[in-house]
Amino acid sequence: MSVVAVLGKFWQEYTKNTPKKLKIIDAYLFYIFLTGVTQFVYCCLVGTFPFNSFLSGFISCVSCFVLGVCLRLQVNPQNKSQFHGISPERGFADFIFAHIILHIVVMNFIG
Amino acid sequence: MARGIIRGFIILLSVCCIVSANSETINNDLVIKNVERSIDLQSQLTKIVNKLTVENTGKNPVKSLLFAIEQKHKDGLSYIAAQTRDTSRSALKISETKVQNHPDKLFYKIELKDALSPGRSLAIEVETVSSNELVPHPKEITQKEKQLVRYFGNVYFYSPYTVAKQTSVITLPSRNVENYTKFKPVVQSDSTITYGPYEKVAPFSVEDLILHFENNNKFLTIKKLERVIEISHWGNIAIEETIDLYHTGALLKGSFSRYEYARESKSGQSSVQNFNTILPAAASDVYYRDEIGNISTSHMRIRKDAVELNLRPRFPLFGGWKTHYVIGYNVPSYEYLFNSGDEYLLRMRLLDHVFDDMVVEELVTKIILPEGSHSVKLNAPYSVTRLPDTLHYTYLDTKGRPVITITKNNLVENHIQDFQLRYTFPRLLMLQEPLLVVIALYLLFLLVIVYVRLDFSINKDEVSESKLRIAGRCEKILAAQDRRVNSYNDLDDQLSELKANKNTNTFQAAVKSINQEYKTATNTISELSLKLKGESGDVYERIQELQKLDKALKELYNQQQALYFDKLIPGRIGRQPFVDAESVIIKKKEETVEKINSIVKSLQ
Amino acid sequence: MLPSKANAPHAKKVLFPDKQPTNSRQVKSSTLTNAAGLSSLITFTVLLLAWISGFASRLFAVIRFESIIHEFDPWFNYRATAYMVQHGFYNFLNWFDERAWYPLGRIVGGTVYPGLMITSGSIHHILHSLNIPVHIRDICVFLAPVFSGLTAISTYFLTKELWSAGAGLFAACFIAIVPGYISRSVAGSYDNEGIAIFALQFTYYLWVKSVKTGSIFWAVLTALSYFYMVSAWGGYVFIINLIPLHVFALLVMNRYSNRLFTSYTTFYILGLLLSMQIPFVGFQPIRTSEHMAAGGVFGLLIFVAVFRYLRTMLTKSEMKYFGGFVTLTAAALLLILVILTYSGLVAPWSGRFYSLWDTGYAKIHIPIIASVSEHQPTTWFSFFFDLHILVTTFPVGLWYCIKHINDERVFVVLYAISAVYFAGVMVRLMLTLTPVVCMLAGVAFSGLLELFLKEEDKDGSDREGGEGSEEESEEETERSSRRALYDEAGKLRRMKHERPKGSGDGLGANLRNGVVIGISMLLMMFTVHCTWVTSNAYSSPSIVLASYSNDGGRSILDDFREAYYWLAQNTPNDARVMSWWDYGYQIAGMANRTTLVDNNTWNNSHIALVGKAMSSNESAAYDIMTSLDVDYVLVIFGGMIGYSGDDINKFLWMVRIAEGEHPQDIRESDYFTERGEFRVDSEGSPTLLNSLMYKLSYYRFGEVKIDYRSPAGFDRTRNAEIGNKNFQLTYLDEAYTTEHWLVRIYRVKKPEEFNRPRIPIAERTINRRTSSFLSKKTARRKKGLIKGRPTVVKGQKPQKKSTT
Repeated sequence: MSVVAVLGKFWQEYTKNTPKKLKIIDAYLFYIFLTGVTQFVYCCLVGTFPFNSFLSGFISCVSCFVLGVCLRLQVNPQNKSQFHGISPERGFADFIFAHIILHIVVMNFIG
Repeated sequence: MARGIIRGFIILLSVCCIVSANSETINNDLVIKNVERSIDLQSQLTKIVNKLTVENTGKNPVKSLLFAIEQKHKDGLSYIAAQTRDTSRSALKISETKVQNHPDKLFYKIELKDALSPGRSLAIEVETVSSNELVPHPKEITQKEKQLVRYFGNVYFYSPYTVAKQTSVITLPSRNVENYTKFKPVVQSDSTITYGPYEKVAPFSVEDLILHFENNNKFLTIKKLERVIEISHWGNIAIEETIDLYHTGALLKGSFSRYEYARESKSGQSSVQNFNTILPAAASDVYYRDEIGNISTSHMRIRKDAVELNLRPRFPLFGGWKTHYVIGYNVPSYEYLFNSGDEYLLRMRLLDHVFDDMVVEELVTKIILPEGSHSVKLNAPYSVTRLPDTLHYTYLDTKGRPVITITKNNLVENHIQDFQLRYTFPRLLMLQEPLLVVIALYLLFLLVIVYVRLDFSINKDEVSESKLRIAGRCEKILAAQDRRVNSYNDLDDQLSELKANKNTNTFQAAVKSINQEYKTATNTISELSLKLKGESGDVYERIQELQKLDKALKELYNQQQALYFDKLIPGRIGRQPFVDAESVIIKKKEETVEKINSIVKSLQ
Repeated sequence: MLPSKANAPHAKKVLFPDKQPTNSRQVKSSTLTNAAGLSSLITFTVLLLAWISGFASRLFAVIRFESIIHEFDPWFNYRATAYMVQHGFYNFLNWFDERAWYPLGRIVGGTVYPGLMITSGSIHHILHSLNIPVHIRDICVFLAPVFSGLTAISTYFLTKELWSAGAGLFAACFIAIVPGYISRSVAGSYDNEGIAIFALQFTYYLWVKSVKTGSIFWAVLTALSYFYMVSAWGGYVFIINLIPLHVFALLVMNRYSNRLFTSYTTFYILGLLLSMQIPFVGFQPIRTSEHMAAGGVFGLLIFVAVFRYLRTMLTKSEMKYFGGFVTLTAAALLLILVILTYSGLVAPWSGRFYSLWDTGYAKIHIPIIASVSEHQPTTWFSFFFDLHILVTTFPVGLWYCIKHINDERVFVVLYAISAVYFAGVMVRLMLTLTPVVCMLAGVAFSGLLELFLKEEDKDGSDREGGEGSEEESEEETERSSRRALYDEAGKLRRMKHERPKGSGDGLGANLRNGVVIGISMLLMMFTVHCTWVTSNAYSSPSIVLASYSNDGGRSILDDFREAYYWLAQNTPNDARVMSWWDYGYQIAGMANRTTLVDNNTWNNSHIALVGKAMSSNESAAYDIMTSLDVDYVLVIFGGMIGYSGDDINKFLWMVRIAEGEHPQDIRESDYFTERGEFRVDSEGSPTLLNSLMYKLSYYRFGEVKIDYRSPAGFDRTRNAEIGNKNFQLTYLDEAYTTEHWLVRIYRVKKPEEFNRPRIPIAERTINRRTSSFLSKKTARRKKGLIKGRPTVVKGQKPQKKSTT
């Protein structure tokens, strides 16, 4: 079995079993991931001169990604038993809250 | 051109008029028959008491006379006062003035009570106190040396009038006099030097007098004294004085040796280790501190008429050294604050005692009035400068307390006098601050209450909300269950009565209503449990269980009733089987009740 | 009709218990009296009492002395706070302090944890905007006691999350009065630790909460609280290592859950970003090894999450590809980290950190760390002294936690084990051990009492035939036994109350009572011990000394402030004062004069230079002092009154530190006698007897006779007659000596005034000058000495942050 086949199967499974809501989040995550990669590549090429700017940009990407994953986990109906007392709405409110804090700090840090 | 001259002339004239309006001329008719002058140089101050006998040799009565101060003594002069020397010793009004042709000298006009008629003479006394006139010489001494000072004065009494006869007595702190001007006749005996008598001395005659003598007294100057008086209408006046203290004697040369200072009594004679401050007798809660905390070296003695505070600066003060401290205390307001209605009068000292023979270079007195005071009128005992009013904010203030600021330079002990301050304060305002606290607390509690009430509605935590809803439902169910239990108890009562009386009719009548109640209670429970079904399956199941058990219990009751009805009352059963049957039923009942109770408890 | 008669009451009795709750519930329908209301009222009361008693027991120093800042470091914090209040926050962040580390200066804004100053500054700001004119000094003095109350409350919450509310209340009460924590939070001890322990506990509480719920919200709060901790104390490294350790342990124990993932990733990424906002921390979180573990765990957690996600989709065989991929990536990352460390991009572990693993490290490599008494290893005695019975009961709590392990108890177990280790290494880290000990001891006591009081309640309820709410009575008993911590009267009443309940129930009940009484006695002893320790050991401001005469009268030795105030008032505003670094902060804070070195020991070579000046002879020292523009020299001398913490006793550290930087000029062995003793009498080594420190300490002391029995110049601290008397100082002049000779200040002479009449420059010749150089040398008089202890006398109580 080749890697391609495995990936293909994974894709099939994914499209079949994932609710639409989660797909939207996944698209968002993918976008964030691409942004992060772009930033990293850019800094590799150009250099990290204003180090705090690079850091705040990159870390904000990472944290957006991580928070998105967290939201995805909380929203996923399969994980309902694990997150007792956290409804999808609550999860989204928390997500927004975390983002507010995150972006205030990033603004401060980016200089 | 001509107009210009005229204009210039007019200006000149008007200037002359102004000058002459404010200035005096020396009345040559006055002659001073006798002067007895005593100069006290025992402390750092120059205290001079001039006893004059003035005679009017002219033809017109004289209303006032002049008192002159030499130019070199002008700056040092701090206090001047005049009084008559008769038995009444009444104070005379004295004010600064200018005299034509003598712009360089300082003149005071003494206004007599009654005009001095021609040919009469009058005895008066003029007292002056000057500071900073004793100059240390040499300027620097070592720790072991004595402090020597020089005094530059005038052998004669400095007068705008001819003096017929005069003597001066100078008192020194010790008999160690290095040098003094020998202008005959002069006599030194012990620690006093007497100059004179001299006769017929012309006006403004000067003969230099130089004294060089030992003076180890405290040469301390308060560079700045800030006195804050804070008035509270709740019965307290808080006073705080911030003091900058300098040793203005001969500077310390070389090192300071603690060893010598502690061992040898002669070492550091001119240094100041401690001094006494006298506070009002009612002073309490005295504190003595500086920026880095409490100064632990002080003693307080309470005397009959005053509180005496022995203050020790953190370190002994040698020449040129300085220190800074704060002293504060409270006095009750009834001694100083008087009122009639909303009008208040504060009478306090503008300056208070810090140490004997003190010199204050700059005094700033601040009076903080209660919030809401207005129409303030100040009445000072001597001329002072009043700075613009400011506001001060402290505990629970909303619009700030008015602060009256007064300042004056070069003061001595003689300036310790009362000022009077009138102001208006609506008494209702006293309630403002307690009300403020009450309202704040009220709002706080209100906030807590609102927060607690709103807590569940804001929070969109559904789980706890549904939990609460379930709890509410359970509460209702339990209430219904209680009613059911009551109905069972009633039924029990009726059954036992039935057993005793065997009266089926009354029983049936009673049981009807009991059953009715039971039925409604059961219905309520089943309705409620249906509602609960969607929210919590667990609770619903338990309630179903409860209902099932209840049904069983009811069945048992029915059995018991049937037993009574069918067997006991008709007498179709023997005693023993009846008891057995009944006990079986009762046992079952007990079991069921036990189960019901456990469910009820779990629901609680 | 006998049976029926018997039946009727019987039937009633059956239903009686069912009826009772009805009544009780009806009575209790008002909110205050129902069970939930009552228990929250009790909780509230207990926490309030814990706060009040914790606050009150920290006030010994204020009541005995005054409201004053203590010790050394707090003076700097106070000075910085006062600066911030006066000049505003932004000026504070940009503050360049030219009064410290002359001539280098210090960038205070970038080298300080600003949390403490911001906290008290904002309290000051709020109070003043409400027109409450509290002086900033009073806020600083009372900040630590107030925060101890908050610490108690957050400890309660943390323990409640870990175990139960009862244990939480116990823990709150313990931490309110435990000496290990009081030692750093008495009124006046205005130091970072005072608020940091609160931040620590609160962060842990929020962390446990977020692990439990898996909520992003709690994780964000954890990060914010961590941010506060970072701004307050360097000990934040403990958090950023302990939490990853917890996560790692959970992973290893196969306790991974999505909750763990959400809470840790959110916390880490936000915490990382927030911690870099503190100027002093800067880029350290991504540059130094101390912080790398957290990042590693973050990566690991993501890998595990991805792995798990893939496993839901794919079969085992298909996973192999990804498994290989993951391992490869992990290995690559580790390799990159190692390379980065070697290439210097990621700083290796700092020296202070090394000394945590290897206790001997500091002694060999960094004498300046080893010289601080609070960096010494902890003795067994001080464990007991600071924690008393808690140190014996906390293993019980630990055992309970291990026995009933779950996610958050893993955390407390790790916390306890690591804190015990660190506390063993350094006295100072006793502070991080104290909260966890309190929590676990709370768990232990709560467990014990639950066991011994609960059963009794069951008995009681059986006997009475009623079943009163068990929870309630449990709470009740716990509360009253805890009351013992506050007033013994309450305790006695409770014991009386308990006896009739248990009596007549046989041996078991008696045993239970015995145990309960025993526990209560233990708790009482604990309170007594805490109060005693607080009052005797931790409530001295150390800048004001108190001595007690035989008749019980107290006299205050205020020499430090005497000297500092003399400096403040009678020296030029820009005068530079040289002293050993211990007194740097105090001189800056109280005298407001420029210092050369201070307690922020960032520049070892500068300190070594001062040490060299102190340990050289006068003329060599003069060269150093002129090169440093020193105007005044301040030494602490305890020989007159027998104060052991003086500069002569610290002298060997100065020599050692100086030797570290200038080995060719200073050799420690020169300061010992041939037999290897450090003695100040006539047998002491000549180098010592001619060193600047010696001369400044004993200048003219040789003439002093303290009492008739001892010879002149008898040093009370070292119990020896000094060996070098009757010398003169050539380059310095005694400027001031305090009343008890505790502080001596010397003025450094200008070149033109060396003990001889001033000679015009034109007439000066080299010859004359050298002769005057030589004239200072005086013959040392050799005399018989009084038998005494010639070795260094150590301070009698563990002194904080000062050289022993």
